[in-house]
Amino acid sequence: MAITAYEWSGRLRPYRWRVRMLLAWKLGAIGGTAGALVAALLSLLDWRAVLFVPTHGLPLVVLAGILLGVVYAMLVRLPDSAIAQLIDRRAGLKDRLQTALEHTEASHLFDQPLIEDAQRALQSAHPAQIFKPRFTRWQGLFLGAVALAALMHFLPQILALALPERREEQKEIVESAKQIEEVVKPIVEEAKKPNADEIAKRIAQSAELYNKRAREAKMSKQEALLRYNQLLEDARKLEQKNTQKMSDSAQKALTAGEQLEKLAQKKQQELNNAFKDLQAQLQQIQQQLSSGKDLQGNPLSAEQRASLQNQMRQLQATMRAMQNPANAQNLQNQLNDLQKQVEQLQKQLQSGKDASGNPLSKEQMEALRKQIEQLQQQIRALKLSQEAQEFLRKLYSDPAFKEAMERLRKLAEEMRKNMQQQQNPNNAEKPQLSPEEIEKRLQELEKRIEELAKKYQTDEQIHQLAQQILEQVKQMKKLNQCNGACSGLGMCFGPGGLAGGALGGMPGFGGGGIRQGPIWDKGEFVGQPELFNQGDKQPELKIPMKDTAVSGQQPLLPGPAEYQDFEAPPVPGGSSIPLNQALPTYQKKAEQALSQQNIPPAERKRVKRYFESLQKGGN
Amino acid sequence: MEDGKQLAEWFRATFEAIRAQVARVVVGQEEVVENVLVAVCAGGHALLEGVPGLGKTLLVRTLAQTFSLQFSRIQFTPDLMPADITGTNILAESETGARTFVFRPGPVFANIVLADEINRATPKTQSALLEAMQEQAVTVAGKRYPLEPPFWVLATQNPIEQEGTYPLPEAQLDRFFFKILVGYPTLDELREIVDRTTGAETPQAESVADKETLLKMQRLVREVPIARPVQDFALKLIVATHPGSEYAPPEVNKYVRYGSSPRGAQTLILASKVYGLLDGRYNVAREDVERALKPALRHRVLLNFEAEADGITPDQLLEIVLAHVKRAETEPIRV
Repeated sequence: MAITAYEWSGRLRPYRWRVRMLLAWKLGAIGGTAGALVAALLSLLDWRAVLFVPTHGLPLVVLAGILLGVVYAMLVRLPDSAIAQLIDRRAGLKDRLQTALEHTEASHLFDQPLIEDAQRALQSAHPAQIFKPRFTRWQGLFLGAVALAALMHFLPQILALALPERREEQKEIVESAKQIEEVVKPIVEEAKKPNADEIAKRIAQSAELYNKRAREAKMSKQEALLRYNQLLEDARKLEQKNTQKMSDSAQKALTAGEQLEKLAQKKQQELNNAFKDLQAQLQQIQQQLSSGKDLQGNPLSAEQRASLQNQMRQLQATMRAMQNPANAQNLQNQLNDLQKQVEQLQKQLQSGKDASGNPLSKEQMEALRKQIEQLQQQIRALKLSQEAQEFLRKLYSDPAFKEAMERLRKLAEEMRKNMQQQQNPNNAEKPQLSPEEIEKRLQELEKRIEELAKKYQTDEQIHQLAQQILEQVKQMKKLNQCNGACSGLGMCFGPGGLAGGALGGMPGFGGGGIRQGPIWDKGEFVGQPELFNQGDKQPELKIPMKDTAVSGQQPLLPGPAEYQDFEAPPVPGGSSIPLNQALPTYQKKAEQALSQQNIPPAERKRVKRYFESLQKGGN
Repeated sequence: MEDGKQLAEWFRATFEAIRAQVARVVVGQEEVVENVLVAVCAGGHALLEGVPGLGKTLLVRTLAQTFSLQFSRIQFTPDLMPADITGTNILAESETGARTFVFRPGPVFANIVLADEINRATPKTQSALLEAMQEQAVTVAGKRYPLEPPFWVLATQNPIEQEGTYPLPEAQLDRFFFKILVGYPTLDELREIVDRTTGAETPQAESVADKETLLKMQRLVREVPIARPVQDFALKLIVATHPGSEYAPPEVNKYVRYGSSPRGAQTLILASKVYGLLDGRYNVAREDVERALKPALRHRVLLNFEAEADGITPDQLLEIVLAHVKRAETEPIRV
């Protein structure tokens, strides 16, 4: 019986699957080898700081190589003839299967017995037995490449453990990395936000990279310094930017407070206008009464006179109530009285009869309408007065509001000064407020404004404005936290940090101003990248040298420093310029140096004293 | 129509029967006997090479006995003339007294021709067999006389280093299907030979196959299928013997003057088919090709002087060729 090519294909399926597995085993190893070699190369480049690869990226590269190999093995076409040939070879079927596959029609003499023979032979060849996974050179190569990649990755750490001088250096670098990580936490948190500042993002990335390279011992001391300096530079920029923002926020908060005050002023203005209107009406009535004539010049009747007198009394009572808003009861009584009168007059107008029941003439009705209108105007004025008094009472009589606004005003002013100081690179003075002080003030301010907002929860306008102020204060707090971190960066290489006690102090740049930082070695300047000599070899001086403390520098050894005071005028020497000519210039420079705090605090008095003594000599 | 399976069984049985009969007379030399029979089944001529006295002639004569075919033996000597082999026209007188030339067939007109010590004759005489071996016919005085099939030339020769021998021309060598080397018998075989030949009775082979049987066997061999990759493997072996070819190993380029002809390829395939059948299969395997390689090609690969100087034999070279081709022939899927 003939067997079709399709049937053969079906019979070969388990073998094909097995071949795919073996192919995946082999190609996975090849892909893995390639991946591991790439990982080794990446490790090397990462070590040399040519490019930066995250630690988890290396196994991913190896895995990607393996995966590519396996995927290719799964997708590659495996023809039946190739499978048959492979089975023939592996199972020792002496080319039976392959020949039978080419003679599926059974048209020749030996085709039929050949097919039967091949089928029989195939049954004896179990896929799992003939296609066993073996450990070949590819798997060996893969393991070797992985070992190489691992070695390349861990070599810096091994060296750091093995070499004593590297060990010490690495310890210092790791310590500094920990401090930096701790300090920049707020900036990193800030950088995670979607609308984060670019500089904050850059600092977060730089800090992360610093930490990674320190952890993996891939950083020399020189590189650590360079990176640290870069971080400081970025931190300084961020701090400047944040201070600017804080100043803006403070201004906004202040503006919100001022709006509140303006609102109160507006209400007061409205009240004044209403009062003036009432005054004009009173004058008009008084004129009519004194002249005995109405507005048209007609003589007043007794009734009209009585009515005008009544109106005048009412007006006086209303104005009195407005002038004395503290007496709320009086204001309310007057309001009630006016409303009653309006109701009575409206009833008369509707019925067309006066209080005595006599029908009203047209003129009388017109006079009634006018009177009602005047009364209503008085009611509005009284109500306005009531509202304005209430609003102003709440704001101006509340010391919490006053204090909060005062604090806000002061803070805004100080923030502005801070910003101006930072923008001036020549200004070496300390900022007006340190981040810690600002934080303290902001916390107090926040507390007070929160109380204020809570207090005026019912008053929509006040509450809304208070919320706006609060929002700005909170924003300032966040920015200040970042600034605190920026300032803190300048202290990461403090005496207890990287350099340890062996390194001297040196002004380093960090935060909003000059910070006291150490140097690592002669010629290495923390925080001053422009002064950093990039590890250039310093020329060796051929003269005997001795470390000597000079004025203005911290003592090299612990304990009191030795110094010598010089009293003026100095010992006469070969000077060609008289002291009284040279003194003003030098004195001015000394004053500048003192004001800019270039002279250590401990030495300032001594410098001042010296110049004073010179002054005496000059005179 | 007969079943292929049964025919294959019949083939193997017949082959074994012939071999058994030969083994009654010829002691040992199983491989030699088998190769001669393979050549016979494939319809090819065989050249047996060995020092005198190793039973080459006995083997061929015994074979002729088992086949019940017309057998003739030509002892090649340096003075043997071509006409002594092919036959010649002689002047014959009829009963009427008329004299005409009549063709008198030579010993080549037989089914099995034993060309004994073929390399003792001059190349001219050796060449007399050329047409007979290839065309299965001889031409005498311009007239062609066909030979009755089946026709086999089973030649024996002494190693050419021996004195008084003439190396066979390349063209004639190529016409031999197999060149079979006959080696010395082992001690046990020698003991058996002595026992058999010095006793009172000399064993005789019986006829187990006739002309039709042998022709049928030859036809059957050609029916055996061969897969394309196996055929390619055989052909690569042939090409690898050609100096400067793509598949040739460096040794071939260095030592070979002429490689195998296409006739070598035909021989290799046909012989492989016989081996396949004998192995109980219905197809040709690479192993069959490997088995046929040396007898089929050792006389077709002509070595140069450098090979002789370095002591390289054709068999050594063919081993190198085989190893080279096998190495180059990778698995279709490298897992």
